[in-house]
Amino acid sequence: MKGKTFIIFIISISLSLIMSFTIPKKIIDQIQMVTVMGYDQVEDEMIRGTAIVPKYINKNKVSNIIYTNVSELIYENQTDLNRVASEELYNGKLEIVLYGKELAKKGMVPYIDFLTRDPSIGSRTYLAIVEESAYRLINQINTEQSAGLYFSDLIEHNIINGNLPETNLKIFQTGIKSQLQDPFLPILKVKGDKAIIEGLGFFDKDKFVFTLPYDNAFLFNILKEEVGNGKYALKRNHIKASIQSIESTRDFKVEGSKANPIINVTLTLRGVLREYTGPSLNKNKDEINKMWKEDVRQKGQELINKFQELEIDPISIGLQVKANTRGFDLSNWKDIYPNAEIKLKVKSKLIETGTMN
Amino acid sequence: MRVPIQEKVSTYMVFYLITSVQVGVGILSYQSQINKHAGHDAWMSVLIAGLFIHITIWMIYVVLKGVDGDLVEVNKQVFGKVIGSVFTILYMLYLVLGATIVIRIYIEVVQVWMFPQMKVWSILFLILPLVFYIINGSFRVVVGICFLGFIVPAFLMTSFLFPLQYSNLNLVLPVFDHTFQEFLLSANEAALSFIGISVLMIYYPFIKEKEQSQKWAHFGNLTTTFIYTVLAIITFTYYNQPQLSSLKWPTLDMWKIIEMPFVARFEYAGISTWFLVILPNLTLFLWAASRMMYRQFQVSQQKSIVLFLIAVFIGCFFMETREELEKVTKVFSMFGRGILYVYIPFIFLTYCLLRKGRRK
Repeated sequence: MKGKTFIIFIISISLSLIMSFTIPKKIIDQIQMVTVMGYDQVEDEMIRGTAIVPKYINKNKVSNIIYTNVSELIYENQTDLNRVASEELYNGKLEIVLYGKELAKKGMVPYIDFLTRDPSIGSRTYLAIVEESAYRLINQINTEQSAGLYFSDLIEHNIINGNLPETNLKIFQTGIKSQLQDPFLPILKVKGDKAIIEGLGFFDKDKFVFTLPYDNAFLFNILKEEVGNGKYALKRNHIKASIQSIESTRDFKVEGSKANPIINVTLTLRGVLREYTGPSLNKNKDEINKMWKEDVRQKGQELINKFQELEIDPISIGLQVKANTRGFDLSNWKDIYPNAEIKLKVKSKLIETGTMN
Repeated sequence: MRVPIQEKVSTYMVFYLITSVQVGVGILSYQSQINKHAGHDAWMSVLIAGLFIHITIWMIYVVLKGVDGDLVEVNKQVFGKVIGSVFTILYMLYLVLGATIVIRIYIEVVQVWMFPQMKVWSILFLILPLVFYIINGSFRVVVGICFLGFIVPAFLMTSFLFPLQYSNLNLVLPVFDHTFQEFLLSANEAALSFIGISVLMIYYPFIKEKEQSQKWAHFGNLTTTFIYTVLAIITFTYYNQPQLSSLKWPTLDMWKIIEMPFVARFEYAGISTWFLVILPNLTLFLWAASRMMYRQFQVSQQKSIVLFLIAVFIGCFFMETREELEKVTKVFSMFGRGILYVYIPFIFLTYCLLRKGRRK
């Protein structure tokens, strides 16, 4: 390379590097990573934002610092929170965002916008509704670990092994944007110094309308997705049985005309009986299976009818019908759905009964 | 016009020249463009566009084989000396504009996703000397960059397996639920993603066995069509249509779902690697422009590269907001469509007529 070009190279590259050094840095010890955010409705247009920042004192010891403030916009809130924080607050490690019930009733769209607009927030961030107020829950929580990890672990293990359907920012966002399904979120509640998953909250578009107690979450779970490890408590007449490790598949068939569709939902369940009290199991196995099937069918059908009554579609039946109908008319669907005939069919199998007969 | 053998490149390199120039910044956002007309069926429009590009490649080869020269030669033979040089200059402008837009969009992505305070000129001061260094080497260095720009970022394709966990096939059903016209309108949008191939008409004399290179060009286009189609299906099953339309860069947005124990945010790794995808675009476009300058006006390539780099630098400065960038991109796409739909078929037809005339 010739001398002149070489000098130009050196100058331009060093200029660029010098400039880049002046960009604000984010050194991990000099920033605070917010892991939990909570938002509550106060007065009319104001929201209370509460942030938890973990502070690592020494090995295995975390203290959770709580900042809280009231403002109109979420980022305005963050700016205000910075006025009390000892270091700059960043969203990059956000694990869960909690919303007070009152806020959720008013509509969530203004309060999740920043989550999707900010590139540093992942799609796997959890969202949850808090029964009373997020502020109170955040202040009551007492854990040894970081509060963000506590909340995300709580939800995550219930998704993998419990009856909580898969939920995160991506899924909620999909539900809000779609015209063929409605979103849902888990509802948390304070219990002593811990949080408890109280149930599932269902939305009409982005407005919270209906609570399903967690006892019935399994029914929604099998209707919503294919489950790998469900749990069901069967209590009927004189029989009490606990069925675990339930695998489910679902199948939608759309029949009838465009204006009057008949939707057949078939659920196939396979489970293992883990606990049982009642008359001899050996003789009554078929009967128990039948009872289980009938129990799920009846409660499931009730749930579907309830959704139709509320004119919400968290099971995404609209999407199923659209996928099976040529020239699907979106504007008509809203009138058809509440009166559409949705038939639930359940097939079930008890594959094992543990180590006892 | 003869190119010395030591400057020529192996025949199969045409594969990398085609793929690396087709995949650039368009792949980051094409999904939310093509779905405007054919909705959830738009992934099939990508196939239509890919097929159309195959025909274009065939037309280009017919002309180039007959003329046995590059675009400047073709222009001269088809349009005559004066009008031919006008088209050459227009095409040169198109290439420089293309390079400017590619680099500006990449910087925009870096600014939005990684460093909001990063100054445009400060990145340009790093990238432009590199581009100069590569082009100044020789055409073989440019081709080497194209090769790396395909091989190294290829691992990024595996990252698009992560969104499959949340895919819902119902979102693309029922298939063929749109009219033929809607398919074509979407294919028109999709064609923009393939636009770079026309540079083929400039580096053609640099290929060792020119006639045999056609199959590699088709194979390259087939690969890009495959990549675009698969990515479109993944995107369409991951997002529903209203959600997709609201996103600027669906491809990057899908990376938000990736969370690994050792990387919390994959975008940082992905966008940094993406530089290797856009580098072949930059170098090949600017090399081609400077080569045309040399062929048309006998200006040394070194001098014209400096001129073009200054033009790129100034151009990036004038596109400050997204709206301005979009406006310029629109002009560029019109340019590109003109080349694809009018210019290339026109020189093909004229060439065929001329050949017939000569035979008689």
